[in-house]
Amino acid sequence: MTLKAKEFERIVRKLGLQTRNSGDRLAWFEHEGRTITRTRRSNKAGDLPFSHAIRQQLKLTEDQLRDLLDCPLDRDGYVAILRGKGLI
Amino acid sequence: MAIELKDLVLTEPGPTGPDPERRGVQSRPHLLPSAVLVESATPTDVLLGTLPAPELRLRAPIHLEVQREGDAVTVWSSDLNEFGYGPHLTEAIEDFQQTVIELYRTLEVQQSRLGPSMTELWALLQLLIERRP
Repeated sequence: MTLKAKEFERIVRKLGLQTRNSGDRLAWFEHEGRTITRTRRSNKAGDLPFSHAIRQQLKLTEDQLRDLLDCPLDRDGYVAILRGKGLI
Repeated sequence: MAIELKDLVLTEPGPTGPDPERRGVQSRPHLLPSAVLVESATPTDVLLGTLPAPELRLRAPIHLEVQREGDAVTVWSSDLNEFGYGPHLTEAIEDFQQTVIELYRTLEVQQSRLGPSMTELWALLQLLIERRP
């Protein structure tokens, strides 16, 4: 699925990602003081190329990304996913 | 992409094809492309050998897969799980280079507080990149 810039920002807000604007917009997920995952997007609006790479960098499946955008998945759920993968 | 032998077929001029007598050629099979080839000159793979950062040097080339997605060209390193993109291949590679430099510098600073996945990535970056003295 193709992500739009505003959907990326929705993910940032829902997961409480830390962000920094470099040439791109960098975003990373911290848990208990550790950086667990990281991703980035172009600062341009509109469709984000290579959206599946963003999903992979966040360690999510297609369904989980859809859940994240459509609301059922929240930060606690994301932590559970990462814990299940041994990443936390 | 170059035309390969498999892209060519032997064909006889058909009833609506060129008239051999009028054109002064013999009636014999000709090698003709099986389809009109409008191929991109964009390669499918490239090897990245340098980083535009004076303090960093690649120890080994990074393999990048190249894809065209709409108006953008993307390059992807499955080893680093990282990508770059731009309107042309050159810009996509430059974007990737800047991303890797940024990533290296960020993880270097944060190395004492990385999760397992990021620790693994940092280890891989150290294998691929060295700091110049």
